[in-house]
Amino acid sequence: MTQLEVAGLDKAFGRHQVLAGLDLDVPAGSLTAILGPSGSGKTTLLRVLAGFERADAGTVRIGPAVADGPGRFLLPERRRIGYVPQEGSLFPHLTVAGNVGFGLPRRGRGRRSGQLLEAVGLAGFARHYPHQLSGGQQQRVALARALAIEPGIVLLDEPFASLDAHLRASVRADVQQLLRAAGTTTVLVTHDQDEALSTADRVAVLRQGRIAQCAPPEELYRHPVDADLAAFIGDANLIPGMLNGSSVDTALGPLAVEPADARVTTHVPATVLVRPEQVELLPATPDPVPAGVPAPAEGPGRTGVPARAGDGPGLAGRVTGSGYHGHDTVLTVQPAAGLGLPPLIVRTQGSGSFPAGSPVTLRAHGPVLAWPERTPGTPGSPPPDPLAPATRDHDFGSNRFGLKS
Amino acid sequence: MPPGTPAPPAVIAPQAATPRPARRPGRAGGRRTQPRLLTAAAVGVALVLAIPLVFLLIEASGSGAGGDARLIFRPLTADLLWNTVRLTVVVTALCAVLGTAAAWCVERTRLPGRKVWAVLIVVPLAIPDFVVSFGWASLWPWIQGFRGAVVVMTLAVYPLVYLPVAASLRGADPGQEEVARSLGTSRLRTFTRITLGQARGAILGGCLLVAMVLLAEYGAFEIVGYQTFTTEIFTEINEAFSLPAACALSLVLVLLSLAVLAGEGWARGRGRVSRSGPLAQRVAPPHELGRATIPVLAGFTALAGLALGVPVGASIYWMVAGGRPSLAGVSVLNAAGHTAAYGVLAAALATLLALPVAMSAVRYPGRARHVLERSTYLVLALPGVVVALALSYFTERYLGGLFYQTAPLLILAYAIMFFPLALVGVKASLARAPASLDEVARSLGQPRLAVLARVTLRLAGPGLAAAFCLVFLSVITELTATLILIPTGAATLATQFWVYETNLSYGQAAPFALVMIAVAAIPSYLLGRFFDSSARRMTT
Repeated sequence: MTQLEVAGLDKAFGRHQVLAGLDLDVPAGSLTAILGPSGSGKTTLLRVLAGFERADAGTVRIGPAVADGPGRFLLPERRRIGYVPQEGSLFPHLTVAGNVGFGLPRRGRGRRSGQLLEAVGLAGFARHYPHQLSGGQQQRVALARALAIEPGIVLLDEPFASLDAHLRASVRADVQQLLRAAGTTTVLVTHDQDEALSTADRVAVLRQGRIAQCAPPEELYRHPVDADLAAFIGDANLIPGMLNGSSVDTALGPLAVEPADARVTTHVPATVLVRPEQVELLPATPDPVPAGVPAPAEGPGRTGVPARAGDGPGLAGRVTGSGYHGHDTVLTVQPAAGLGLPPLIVRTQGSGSFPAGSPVTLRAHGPVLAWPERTPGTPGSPPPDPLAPATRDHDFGSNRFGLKS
Repeated sequence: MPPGTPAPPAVIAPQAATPRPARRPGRAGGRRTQPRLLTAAAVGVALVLAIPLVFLLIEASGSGAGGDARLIFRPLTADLLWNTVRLTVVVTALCAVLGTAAAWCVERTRLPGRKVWAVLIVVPLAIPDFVVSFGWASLWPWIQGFRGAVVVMTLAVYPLVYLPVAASLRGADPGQEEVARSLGTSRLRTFTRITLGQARGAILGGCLLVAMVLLAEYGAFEIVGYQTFTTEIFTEINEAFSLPAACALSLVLVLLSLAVLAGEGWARGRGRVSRSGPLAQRVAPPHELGRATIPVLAGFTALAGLALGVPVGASIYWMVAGGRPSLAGVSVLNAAGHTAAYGVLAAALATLLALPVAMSAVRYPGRARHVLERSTYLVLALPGVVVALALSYFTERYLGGLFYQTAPLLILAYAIMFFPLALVGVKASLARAPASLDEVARSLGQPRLAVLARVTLRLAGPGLAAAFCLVFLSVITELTATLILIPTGAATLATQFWVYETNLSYGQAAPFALVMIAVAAIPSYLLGRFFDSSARRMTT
């Protein structure tokens, strides 16, 4: 069991700063995913860890040894790191057995590679050449080859990106099981948050050359450190509100805030995260909402739906679209005009009985997260968060996280 | 801040702008830092290659603008320009048609005996142009002047178009043709718009090679009595010993070559052909020739007969018919030995010089590296006679004639002249040994040298051998620069053939021609095998 510690890592190519003071701890035996968009420096980080690139500053510690640091650089062949590149990168001139046994001493090479092939379920393929294998098989051979040297750490670079969608889940499960059985510490790099959240013990989000947050998947989803990250991980409704200690007033009514920010005692404008599954849809009450009420708190914009403690009262809206996913339905609802709210994403169980166009009442259930907005005009402080109030559609294609749960 | 601890929002927020848009989805920033030693080596090679061009410019500026102008703007230059340009245009066009048609028939139709034709069509490449010229002109006196030059050169160099086009047709995506047909495009239009479009880069590349050969050719034109820039420069150097005149004419010739080079780059840049799918290739189902089978077969037979049969037949004829030696000459064996030695050394040197440039271009792509690599292709614009001229006067002027007419200088000249050939081969071979495989091998605990032996050379080796063969083949059949730079007392197959040929001792020249063909045919055959097997490995 080897642990990996990275501190203050810098790496630039020319004038392009890729990694900027990156810190990361990977506990021994864990499977940590590095999640970030294309071009965020994930692969560069892996290449520095593997020793293919030298960091400009900072240290990489593999177990007790400093692998990269001031005046010290461990060559890649001495790091005992199992590296599985994006496309598998099998040696095309060697058979499957030759590939798996590549890093092993000549004696016992055949036997050991046989064992490994059995472990990855490819026992009958020893004499095949890489081009005779499917993508999933190649990926498993690449993994067996990396595990052959009994590495302290395994690095996987987008290992499932080149696989077909239907293969991906099964190969992913196989790989996960193999890695657990081998007990290695694993770092997996991916731009697919679905993959990161469902595979890893811990997910580190790489942003602007450093780790924005590193936490277990559920923690990351439930307690993102900022609104931007909240919008990145899963679907998010980001709406404005007034924060006051343990509650926040929003267009959806007052909502409980967790964790309560003890520093905030007076009303402070804030960005509020309401996850789609925290919004409930009810049939519209006969008395529709007169719009034009911008402020939170009680007012004519509220409907008479009784609220539980910590939940907001209802808000009128109209369904504008819905996607049925079997286990749940995701709807977009346009709140009543005049409140300045963008369409909200709502997730309901079962088949929604709300066709597009139908009027509904929205009700939110706390507790929610809220981040105080930075007051404009304060010297040195940046302008208000440009994404609030908005339901951010992040850059990572459709978000599949919530749909799995 | 320790990771995992949520930072206060204000700390993170300044960077929390929208994430950078995805540049290349799927292949995230896997950039590599180029080792300094490699950069230095690549730049060094580029400097060596620049010697001839730089010398030419110095020499031209030395003789003064007025002198240059007087030497350039005379009726002779206009004649030479007209002769050179019209021949280049006509032969290049003929080769493009002939080479492309042959390649399409061999690669895309059910032509009977495709495998045999694939070899017979390429073998003429192994016959030196001046031997083709000799074969035709010695049998039929009407092979003279422009007409003779067109016939001889077309038959000698069309494989330069055939080879790349055949390779490109083999690798082309059949899906594009199918899509075109499904969109209602006729067979003919599909051929002209899709098939030719896919092969366009290869056709242009082949035409470029043909044009460069034509600009540089000396022996073949001398035999048929056709005057071009190169023959005139050669005469100025070797017979009139007029350096300023030779330099002035060389300058025009180099400008002409550069224009061709630029034209090809321009034409190529207008359309990029790419395969939009994964590399797993599907082979296009071959077309039925039907009633056209017999005429096509007749065409192939005629082509092989004219391009291969005539030169080989003529050489055999003269060897049998020719009398006993009338000139005391160097033995064939002796000349073959010299030729092989020069060829091996020059091929090794050229391959070695190409390595850093290719490595830098293939593994560490970037704008600066690209410019460096392209700059080495400028050597293409330097005909052998110009390289020889530049190097011989360079040694005379700056090294006191130290290396003039010695083997090292001759080998260096060969290496410079055929550098682009080596570079193409080495680049292709390195593309088969991607850096990621080296890295995986190293992460598996193998030190650098073991990786080189077990991975890089195993994968790139055949390609490097092909590059070596390509240069070797070219050296064996090189005549122009060899005549100028050959060490005194030494003789190669080509120079000895030339001595006999110019003395009209065809009987004695013929054996040298046949040995040259035989020796050159071996690397050609190996090259064919290599490209064929590599293509097959790609398609399975």
